[in-house]
Amino acid sequence: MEATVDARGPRLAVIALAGRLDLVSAAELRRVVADVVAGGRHDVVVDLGAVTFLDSSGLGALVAALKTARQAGGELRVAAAPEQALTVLRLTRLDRVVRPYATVDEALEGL
Amino acid sequence: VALRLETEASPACLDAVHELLAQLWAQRPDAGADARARFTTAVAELVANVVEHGRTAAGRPPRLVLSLAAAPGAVVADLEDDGIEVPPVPPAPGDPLAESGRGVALAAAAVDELSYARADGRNRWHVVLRA
Repeated sequence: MEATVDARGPRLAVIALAGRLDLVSAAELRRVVADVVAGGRHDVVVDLGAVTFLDSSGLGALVAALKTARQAGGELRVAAAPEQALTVLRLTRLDRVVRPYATVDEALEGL
Repeated sequence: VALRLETEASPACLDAVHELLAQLWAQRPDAGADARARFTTAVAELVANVVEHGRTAAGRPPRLVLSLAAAPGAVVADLEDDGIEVPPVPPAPGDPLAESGRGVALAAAAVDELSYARADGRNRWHVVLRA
């Protein structure tokens, strides 16, 4: 998995992921989000558009990242999830906790 | 045509698992995106479970054998490993913000059939998705 951080002003960042977000890469996502939030960007949009596979470890990392953002007074949203990622979000009912937005632009609205 | 992978359970083996799944879908180009997503999720989730939690009585990573087959109207996976016995399918965690514990429940929810048996000192998972 590759993670690209795009700072959008002092409080906001878009993190674009590419590849598999799974057992192998979950820790990296936690680390990237922790660094971004520690740097003052408490509002985070995770762009899943190029994620080829999401598993329960990846879901766990997204939940951890959500908690990290909220503990800093911010929010975390996911955007552009492909079909497989949407399927696992729905099957685990985590779509109620980490609500998926269709596009990055939609996710950015109101942040 | 059946596809087979035998390997030590390690994070790196997930690459080979996804490659084997890609070969299965090449045999079943008619399978829809939803079927692919569900079956891939279940198989990769069960392998990841062995990688993360499996160990032999001697404390080594288990060896696992994954077989995939495209049958008429279905895709089938059999996963075996020589690790110690794992508990039966646990429920999904009650904490909506839990960060782990969803793997096997997710695999079960994704497909039509998921069964586990302990036989001959091996853990055996059987997965069927009608597609």
